[in-house]
Amino acid sequence: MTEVVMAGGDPLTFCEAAAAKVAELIAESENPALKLRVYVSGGGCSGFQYGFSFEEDAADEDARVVRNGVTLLVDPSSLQYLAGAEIDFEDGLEGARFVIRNPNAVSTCGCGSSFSVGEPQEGQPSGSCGTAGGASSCQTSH
Amino acid sequence: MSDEPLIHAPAAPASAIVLTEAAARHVNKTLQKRGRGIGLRLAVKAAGCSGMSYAVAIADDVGELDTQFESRGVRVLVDPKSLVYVMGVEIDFVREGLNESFKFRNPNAKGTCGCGESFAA
Repeated sequence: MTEVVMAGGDPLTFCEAAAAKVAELIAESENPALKLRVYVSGGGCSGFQYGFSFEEDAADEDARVVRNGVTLLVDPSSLQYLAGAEIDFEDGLEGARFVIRNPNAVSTCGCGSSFSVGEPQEGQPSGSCGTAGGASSCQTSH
Repeated sequence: MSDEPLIHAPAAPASAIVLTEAAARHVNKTLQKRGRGIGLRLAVKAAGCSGMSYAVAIADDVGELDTQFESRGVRVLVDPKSLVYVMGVEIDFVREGLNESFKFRNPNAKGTCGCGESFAA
């Protein structure tokens, strides 16, 4: 099962497969201080796009999700677009990639790296415990 | 089976489908992991920002109207509707940043967009 960490009141799921892949990449880089940052920026064919980067330092205001010893960082302005999202890693015929399943995205395009949102979410979403409908769709690792 | 046209791909003429070493390795690895399958099915579908996008799958059998190619020991199957769009394509498998994916170099493509999986013909 996945663990949901409350980050600034918003649940964000860091799937096991994603954490395992990040751990592998960090081990390859031989720098255990690295953390994975997920962020949202303007751009792409749907208006917003996701970005990933490895960083050594976290900012004070970052939300952190720790899973299996790996830290995921999200800055506050990205977090408002990622509330309830799952960060996963898919490895199959079509390739290996990090994916973000985001309930805030009303449409996606390109290869899923760009998305658009509906009503802008201001402040705390209400009733966030019902957001994901219960079931997680994280990949089960083999 | 023996009636099926089997086209062996030499050095990437426009009438063939060619896999790079990395693409062939990835397909073989996937086939091995899966434990069954006879090759790669390549198709196009209407989607994406340029009008068409590639779809890949592991093929379990040969369709009656499929054209078969072979490159680096990997069998590639193409349905008749997709055939005209994929002739001459070179399939690569590359690592970009954190991700790995197929890349298609298509002589028929007039423009590509997104992550290169969408193209206009």
